[in-house]
Amino acid sequence: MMLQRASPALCFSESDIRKISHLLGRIITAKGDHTSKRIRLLNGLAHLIAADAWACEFTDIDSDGRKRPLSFLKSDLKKRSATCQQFLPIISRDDLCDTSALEKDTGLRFANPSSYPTLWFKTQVPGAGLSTIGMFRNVSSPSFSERDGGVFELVLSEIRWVHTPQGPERSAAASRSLSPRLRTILHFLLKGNSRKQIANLLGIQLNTVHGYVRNLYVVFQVNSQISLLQRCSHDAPHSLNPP
Amino acid sequence: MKNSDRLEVNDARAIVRLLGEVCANPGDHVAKKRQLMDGICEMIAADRWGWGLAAQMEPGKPSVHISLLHGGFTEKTYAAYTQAYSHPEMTAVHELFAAEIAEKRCHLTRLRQQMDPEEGFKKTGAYAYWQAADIDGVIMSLRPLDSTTFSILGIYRRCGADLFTPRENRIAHILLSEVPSLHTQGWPDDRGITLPNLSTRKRMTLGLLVQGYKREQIADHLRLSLHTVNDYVQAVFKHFAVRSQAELMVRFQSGDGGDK
Repeated sequence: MMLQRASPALCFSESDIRKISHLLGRIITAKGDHTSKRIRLLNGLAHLIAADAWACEFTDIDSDGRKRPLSFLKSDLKKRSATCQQFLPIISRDDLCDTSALEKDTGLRFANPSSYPTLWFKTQVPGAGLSTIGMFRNVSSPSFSERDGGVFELVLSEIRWVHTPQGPERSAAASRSLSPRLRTILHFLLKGNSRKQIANLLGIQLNTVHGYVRNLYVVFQVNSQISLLQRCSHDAPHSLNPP
Repeated sequence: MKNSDRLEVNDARAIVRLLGEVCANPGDHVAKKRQLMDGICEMIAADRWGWGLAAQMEPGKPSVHISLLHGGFTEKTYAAYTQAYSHPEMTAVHELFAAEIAEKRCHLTRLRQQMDPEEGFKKTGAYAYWQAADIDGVIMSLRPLDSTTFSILGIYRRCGADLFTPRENRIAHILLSEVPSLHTQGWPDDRGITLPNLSTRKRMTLGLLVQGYKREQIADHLRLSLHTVNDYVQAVFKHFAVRSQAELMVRFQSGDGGDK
């Protein structure tokens, strides 16, 4: 039986921590939504431990006490071998849910789990059910080493967002409470435009601009454009949110 | 595994956790930089940090930097800090580090004990300002951006606390050197390459102007008359072809603003 539960490592090599940091460093500035970040992270992690495929699943217990899949995400298998496709849903069959639903969802058929090196990680996520992430190697490959298991466990235990199917609420929601006109004016103020320039750009009276700016200062509790800019660079993270 | 290639489990976990949290930050690059730096300070018990640009870091030439983002300072300590790093005598203190980076041309992170083993900075005129800024322990990190400019970071501990250790320096280095994109974002288009053309006093004025200090505050902190400050401010505006402090701040804090 080659199914392994990843166990915490006792120490790490600096080069592994650098590789993980490098992967996260790229995700920090990558464009894309929560799901694309998760895919990036899991692809990168699979690469670090030389896994051929990964799968990530959320399940919940329904009222009949049966496990029920909530969402399923897997590595892109198009480029990979057919054997990978076969062993992907192992974790689901062994530990989690009704396989027929998954077979229907994924169009995959199930293989004998004992022949594939597998690492898995499970964690209960409040409000999102049970998260299970598995990584696999082809049938002829060696088992995952202790180091592979340690890296796998480290990343999946410390990075909580990989275990949530949806990203955090967009913080921009609060700035939607500003009217479209006020948001436009705010945009120009944050670009450093003077009131006169804003009036010219928008083709409105300077006095009208004065009125808008006064409103914005009240909302953001500042008394000058400089303080507004300071608020945005100093009191970030959610620079566009009124207090 | 050699001891020097190994990281304690708790340090490794904290590094991965912090970078993971920054990944989840929905804010812009400024918000991410702040979160990263505040997180580093928490991990290694540092009190203040500054992140900016160095336009000249060659042995034999005056070192020129400007701090653009910072955390943990008060208005007063920040003003003293600006005066400290702008002090002409700091060039000699940076000489060793400048030579090393000119030779290696890669991201380096050094402790104050390594940069200035003889504690030469204590004999310079800048020392009084470092004390006024309440800074003793220093980790300095430099990353080359192009042939003449650098992303420069300082992580500081207050006077009276222990100096940073090599372990803390290594944690800071790993965290700072593996996020390349944060070093290249948010600077003025020319990366401040013309900074050395400004006199030291004008650069100090610039450093405080881009943080939103009023002219009265600048005069007060730099012990200059308001009249002199006004002259410096006009010269700085002219140098960067802007007409207001707001425009200057935007230029230095979010590039040309084209990403907004």
